Amino acid sequence: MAVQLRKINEQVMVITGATSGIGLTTARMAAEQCAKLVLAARSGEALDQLASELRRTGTQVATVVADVGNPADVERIGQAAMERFGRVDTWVNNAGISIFGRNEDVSLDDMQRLFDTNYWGVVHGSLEAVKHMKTRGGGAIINLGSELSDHAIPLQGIYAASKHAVKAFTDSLRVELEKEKAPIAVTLVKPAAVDTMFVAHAKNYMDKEPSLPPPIYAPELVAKTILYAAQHPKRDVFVGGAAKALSAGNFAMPALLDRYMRATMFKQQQSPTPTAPNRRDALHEPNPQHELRERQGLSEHVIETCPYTALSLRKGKVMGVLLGAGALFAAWKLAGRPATRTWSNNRLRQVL
Amino acid sequence: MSPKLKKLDEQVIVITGATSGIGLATARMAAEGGARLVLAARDGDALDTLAHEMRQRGVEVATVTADVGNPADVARIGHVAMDRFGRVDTWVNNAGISVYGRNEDVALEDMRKVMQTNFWGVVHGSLEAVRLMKGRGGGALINLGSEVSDRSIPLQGTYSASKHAIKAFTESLRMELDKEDAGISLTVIKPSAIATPFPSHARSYMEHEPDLPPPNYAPELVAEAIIHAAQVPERDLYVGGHSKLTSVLGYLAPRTVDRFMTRTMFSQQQSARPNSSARRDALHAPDAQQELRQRNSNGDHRVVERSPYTSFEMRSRPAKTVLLGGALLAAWALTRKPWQQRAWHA
Repeated sequence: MAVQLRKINEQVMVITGATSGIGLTTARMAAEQCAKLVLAARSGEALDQLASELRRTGTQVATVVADVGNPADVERIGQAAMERFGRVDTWVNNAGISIFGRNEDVSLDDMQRLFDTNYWGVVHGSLEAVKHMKTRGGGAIINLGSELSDHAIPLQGIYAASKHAVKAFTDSLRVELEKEKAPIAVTLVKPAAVDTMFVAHAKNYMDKEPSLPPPIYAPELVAKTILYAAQHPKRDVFVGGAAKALSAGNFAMPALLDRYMRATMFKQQQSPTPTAPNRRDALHEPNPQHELRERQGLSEHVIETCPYTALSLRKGKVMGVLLGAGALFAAWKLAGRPATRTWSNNRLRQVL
Repeated sequence: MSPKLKKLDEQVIVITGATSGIGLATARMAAEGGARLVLAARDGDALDTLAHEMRQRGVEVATVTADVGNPADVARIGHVAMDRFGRVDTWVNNAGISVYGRNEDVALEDMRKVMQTNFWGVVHGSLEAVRLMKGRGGGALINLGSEVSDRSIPLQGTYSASKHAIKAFTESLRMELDKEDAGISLTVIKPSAIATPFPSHARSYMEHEPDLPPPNYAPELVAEAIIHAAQVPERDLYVGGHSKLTSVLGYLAPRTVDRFMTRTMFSQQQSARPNSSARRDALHAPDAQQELRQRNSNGDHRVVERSPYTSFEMRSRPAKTVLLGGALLAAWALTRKPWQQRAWHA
């Protein structure tokens, strides 16, 4: 039984981590498509600025200063949505952060903080969303996993663990909701490396500035995928063919992928620039200098289109067209020109 | 370069969660094999009883009352091992617990406790083990994942999440240690459902007693896999073919597995017996009545005592090649015959 979802322009959409990167891009794109928005982030000033930008173009926006790691804050997001708009159609659990460094070097405090945001933030948000959607016509919950939901990498161990956990929780919740036939679509989005403020926000234990391993994709690709999943029930989706390729590689040849990671990931996750002594990050507190940027400009070679994701979002249609065309072609071949057929059969035998 | 590991009877082995189920089975098997042991658990009385049992047979044992969710407790395990034996050769992060219930129903506090024990317990233990092994000839670090490290299930959402996280953390740490040639072997053990007191230790939010979906394998199979990985570097070991099957299907056909789980996993994780009002669990504190049992006493399911798949996994690479080659050859010979006959008649 497929869940029915509204068009974006009829939706009330909650987005966490809305003042930066993928969240910001998604918020702006949803606003362009006339969704009503409830935006949450830790920085009130950045939220105000974004809200006034969006209101100028006529978008209805509510903002909530919230740390998703705090369940009471997440409850306030739900309350604000209900008070202002009376319902929630899509809830995007996007807020997330990372730490670069060897597992041995990272402090337990920092590891726990990362888990509070990335994992518990998703748990709090998902359960709050279910509470509001269950009796009110359902909706879509969209959780941001990562390509690191399927395989781990060195130097971002806890980030990978948190994204693995997000996948497990999301998969478990989905089956439970389906069991009760709750009209809620639960989607896990797994982006490859994306050019956002991710690296600048991350805490760093390395001697060099962190960097993302190529290929790096545009945040708009993830935003488009999120808006697609808000309207069409979708179990999970990779953004960027690289994410899918690594997931498949990890499934088929894990030991080989380990070796590849060891050979590449230490270099590729460190830029040539030494870490500045006064480097600030956004792990425990937001950094106002880094707010309201969609991209960091990590590379000149950001990939702006992704055929793999475009195809996987339209798999049904594309397969239908291909199968239909194949059937028509076969019918045409079988129906007419027996002479040709005999010839081709002989030819086939020769070839074999 | 793969790490060199000692024989079992030359090893000092740390085991967390040693007073029940897989931990207990492993401790007893390692003791029989002549290892010296550092056993950790939350229940001091149970530890004393177990240590007494082992010392009667001449096993050298140190015990540490510790909650693995507490980093200071885990540091004490390391201290005791070094004080008593001067080194650690194998560290088994086994302690774990679950909560049964719909994700919507479970209290956040209980979810957090599961994550604290299962995931953070493994993080604390792994980092302590690495600290002690590095520069002292290396060793083996064995972390207990699960069948649900690869494919999550309903009614045990947080447990699945904790086991997914364990896999990711272990794999990340392995790449970092291999990069430095630290001489430490890291293994994730992924058992299928095992007939331990797991369901009775677990907190339950359901109307019926929790249960393990069949097939249920014997805890001794997991202990064998752990003892193997203590001596032979392995990346991961699935215990019970069911675990491998779930992992493969979960990857190749996730939607089909979802539907299958919707039909089976809700009834199979609940027994016919209603939850008693006096039900106790071991989530926040150990339950003395349920200590020192290797297997659960429900007896609802037949216990599978053998796993050909796991035996195959633990063989050396040449043996695996020969076995696989033989199987392929046999398959070829068997499918070839009718063809030949047909050709003959023609």
